[in-house]
Amino acid sequence: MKTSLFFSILVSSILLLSCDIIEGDPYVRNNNNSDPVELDTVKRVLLLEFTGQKCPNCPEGHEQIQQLKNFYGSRFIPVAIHAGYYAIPSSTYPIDYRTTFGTNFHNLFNPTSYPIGMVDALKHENLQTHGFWSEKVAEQMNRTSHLAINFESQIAVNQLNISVEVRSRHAVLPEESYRLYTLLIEDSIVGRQANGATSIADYVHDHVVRHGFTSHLGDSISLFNPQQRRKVSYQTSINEQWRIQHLSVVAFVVNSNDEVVQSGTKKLSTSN
Amino acid sequence: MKKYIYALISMLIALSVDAQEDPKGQFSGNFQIDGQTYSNDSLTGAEEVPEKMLMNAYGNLRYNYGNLTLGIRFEAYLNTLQGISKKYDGTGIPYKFFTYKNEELEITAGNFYEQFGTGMALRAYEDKMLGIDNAFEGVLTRYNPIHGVFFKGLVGKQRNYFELGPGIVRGLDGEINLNETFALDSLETQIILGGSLVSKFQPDKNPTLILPENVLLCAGRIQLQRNGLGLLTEYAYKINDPSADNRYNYQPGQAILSDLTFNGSHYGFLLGFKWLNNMSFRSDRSAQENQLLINYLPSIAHNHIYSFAAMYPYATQLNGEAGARAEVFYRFQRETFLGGKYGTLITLSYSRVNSIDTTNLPMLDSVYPHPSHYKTTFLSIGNTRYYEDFLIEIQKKISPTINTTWHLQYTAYNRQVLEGKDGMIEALIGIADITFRLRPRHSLRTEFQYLNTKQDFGNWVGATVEYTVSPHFFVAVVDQWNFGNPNPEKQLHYYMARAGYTRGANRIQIGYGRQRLGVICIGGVCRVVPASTGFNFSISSTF
Repeated sequence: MKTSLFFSILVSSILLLSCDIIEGDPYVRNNNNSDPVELDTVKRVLLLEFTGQKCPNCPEGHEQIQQLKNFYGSRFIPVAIHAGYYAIPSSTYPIDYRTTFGTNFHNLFNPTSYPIGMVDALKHENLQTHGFWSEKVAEQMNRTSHLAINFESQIAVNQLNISVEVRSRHAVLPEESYRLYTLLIEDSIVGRQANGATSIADYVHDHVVRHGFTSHLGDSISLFNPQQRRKVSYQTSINEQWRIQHLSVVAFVVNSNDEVVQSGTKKLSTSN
Repeated sequence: MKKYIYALISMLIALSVDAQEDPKGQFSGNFQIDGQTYSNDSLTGAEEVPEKMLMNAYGNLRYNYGNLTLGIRFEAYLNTLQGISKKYDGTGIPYKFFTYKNEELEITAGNFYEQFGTGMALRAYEDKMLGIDNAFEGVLTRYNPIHGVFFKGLVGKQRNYFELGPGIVRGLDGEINLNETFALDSLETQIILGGSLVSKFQPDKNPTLILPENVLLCAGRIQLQRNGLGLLTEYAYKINDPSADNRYNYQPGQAILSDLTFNGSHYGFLLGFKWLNNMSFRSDRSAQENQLLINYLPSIAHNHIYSFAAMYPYATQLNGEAGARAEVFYRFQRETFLGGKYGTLITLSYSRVNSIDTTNLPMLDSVYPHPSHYKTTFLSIGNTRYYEDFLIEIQKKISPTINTTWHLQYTAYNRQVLEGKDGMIEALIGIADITFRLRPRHSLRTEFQYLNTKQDFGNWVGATVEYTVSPHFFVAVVDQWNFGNPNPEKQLHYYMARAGYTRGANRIQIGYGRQRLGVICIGGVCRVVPASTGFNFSISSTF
């Protein structure tokens, strides 16, 4: 009895000692970030991140986003929604990144910790801290979509006109209701950001929601026939704080189960 | 799962029939029900909940028959009290086990709690106040082959609310008491040596990183005891364990904890230090907050009892901290100058926690940080103060019927590091706790507290009056007034009335009042308790 137990303990110890030491560069860089062709239905994955300039842990989330962006290229679409306690401006953090859309959308889910985000879903139970994003994004990348999203934009004097076209590859049952969300986001905004116990004065904020063309509940759309197109047009005045060259439109379609079935984005400066 | 639970319950019932015939069989257990109503209170920011009332409850049932012990615990969170994760919402039997034990060997199958050494390598425990339960589900073996030698081995997954975490944990701990094993009866110093190996496995599903799927932590400890003097030191080393906690840092982690204690007849002291770097160790590398922690890193700071003294509590920083604590108490004898007629106990305590000294390593390129993020030196101390407190406490009986405790404390609390909010909070706290014994079994306890700070919510004053008829009944009223709040509209009274009745193993307590927004910490682990207003009740029973 004693001998066999000692032997078991010895074997267990040897097994325990098997550990994986990663030496050198641990980053996987062989990405597949080629842009899908026009009107294709390749699945893009959306991350809706709740963040704020005073949030000390949010740069960790942004680091994750940058790595995912680097890996998946245009198939990964991050959106940074500045809302909640950490987004309230103060004397140290004077810039207000909040929007009506962002605040209303934030209050639908009422997150209690930051950074936190939802990957391809609009559900409270899908709110996940940044440690979970990578695996969830990878999982969603394997899914398919039957929708394609295209954009057109026109900049008139102080006016931005956007049209979003959603096309389905196959027939959609009438009872399937969809909601379309269309947002304007801006990259490369330089401003102060809390970072752990310190703060960074010239932090670069990317994917920041600047305007919601739709409300926080989205717009209902219907798609009954194969190849049917739904085109929705929006317009808004151009805010003098926005820099056109850094603006992009993001649109995503949500089904009745609050799952994001497709999303897309286009930079304004490169759109027609 | 259900089949498993039904089978266990059936076994319990079947055994109970035998138990009635066999006096060796014995049931034991306990129940605990905690409930609270929540009302809107625009002044405190407390919000009504859709359910109006929330409740946490559980019941343990154990059955012991000879060498065999079986047990289950039913838990109900309908819905979970505020401040505890809503992921507990629901009911279930998350804890069930059976244990066989003879003179040398003990085997548990099912759920179990366990601790290796001080817990730096492994500690599975529950704390309902904090909403922590990281019990294992698997197999645990304890083996005592010869006198003074103990082995423990386990394999299991950890509880994650009503589910299990994705990682598998394997652990082995050995301990030898040299005095017992080698019959060193003449040696006055007790010497105990111990060592632990803990390994976790979690598949790598991350597309952007190469992650270690097996992570090993090893630890060694020594415990010496001679008369009233004791020394306990444990060192732990962990190989690369990138996780959400450490921002996917690949450098190894290490920690050391050491306590030197002395307990004499009139005086005693404690000298302790702790240093750790990158020692978060969870069975899910994506987990956060109090989820799926395999090890436990206790707080080096003094554990405060009074509410204002504990208003700014310290939480262990898993990614790195250097702390030290010194505490001394002296009991002045009766009929001496400072001892007076009944003696006086004076306690002095000082603790301080700083960052560790680190130097950032350059990024590999514009996107990828250096895999080790920074470099540091073992036992280095950084310049950032995380926490500091100093207190003097005097316990003095001034007449046959009056006992007093006087407490003065300074606390510095780095809110930026500990809560992610602006700035450092410095507070001065004074407390007087006076108990009058009115007549046999009847006592009146009064407690006055004052907290002075220029930061956070400003100054507070508090009073408690508690009347006890021991051992059955108590009634208390408490008021905490935030008279120094910079916002005059928030200069509120947080009042509370409560009463409790205990008879035998049963206890019932009810209360009503306002709870301020605060942080509760136990052993360096904390949770935020939101403001609330309403009735609360607690029922417990043991059998």
